[in-house]
Amino acid sequence: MRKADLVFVALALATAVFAIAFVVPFFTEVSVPWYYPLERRWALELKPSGLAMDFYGRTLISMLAATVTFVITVLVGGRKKTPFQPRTLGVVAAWAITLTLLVISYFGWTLYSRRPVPAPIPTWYEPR
Amino acid sequence: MPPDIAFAEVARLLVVLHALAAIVLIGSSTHHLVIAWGYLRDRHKVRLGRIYAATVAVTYIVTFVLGLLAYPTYRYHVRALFFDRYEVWASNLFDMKENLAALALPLVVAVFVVSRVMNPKEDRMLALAYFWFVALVTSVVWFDVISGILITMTKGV
Repeated sequence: MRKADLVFVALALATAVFAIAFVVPFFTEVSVPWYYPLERRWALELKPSGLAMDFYGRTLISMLAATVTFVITVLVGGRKKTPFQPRTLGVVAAWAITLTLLVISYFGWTLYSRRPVPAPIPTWYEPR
Repeated sequence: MPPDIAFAEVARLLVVLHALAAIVLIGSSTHHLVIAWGYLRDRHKVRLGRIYAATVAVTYIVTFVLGLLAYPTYRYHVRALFFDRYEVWASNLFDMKENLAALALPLVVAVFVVSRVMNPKEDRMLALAYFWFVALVTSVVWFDVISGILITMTKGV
């Protein structure tokens, strides 16, 4: 088992899992950490109750999922007696890239026509 | 009274530093792509490739973190109060930029690690996969830099 091949397979799978975990909250009822910038507080919830950001939470969850995937793949793959075939390396790389591109496409499609709700203009606001 | 948003008082400095790091990032990632392409054409500048992979990894993370710190200020003062009302395209473009930046993170890590263990002369399939990973990272970097310029030209923090 070549170290380079095992490391690559683990990283490619981690990349694929990152992409999936990053987009899953948009398809399932799963709570993510939301950050409320005006209140400087965090909340683990399905939907925010005010102006909030889920980017930090989704990125963190995706990083954790990818790290777990990497570790498990290294531990399990390290026991493999035979080396990875070049075709296997190509397939996992293709999956990692394809899933990433699919998630990118999803965001492009949904954000193209998004109409966000603006926050109310506060009394102290002076446009620059 | 404006709300007390984290790092708001240094938001402009953060964005300037974010831009400076991105300048180094776009240069190093583009050079790295050329090196990775060379691996497929039997031009194995492995040491240079490792240097660029490391430079991309460091500058990508620095750029990303600086953006994370400036984000709360942008989210309210720029997006909520202005873009969402007057320049919706900029609001949507920024979200596209941030999502791409996050999605490329594991690719950046993968490229850095693989650059240390791969021998492109012998690992042909690995070199091919490496090239496509680098190409995707470089594409994301270029998109994000151009988007960032367009967004900041419209309204900055």
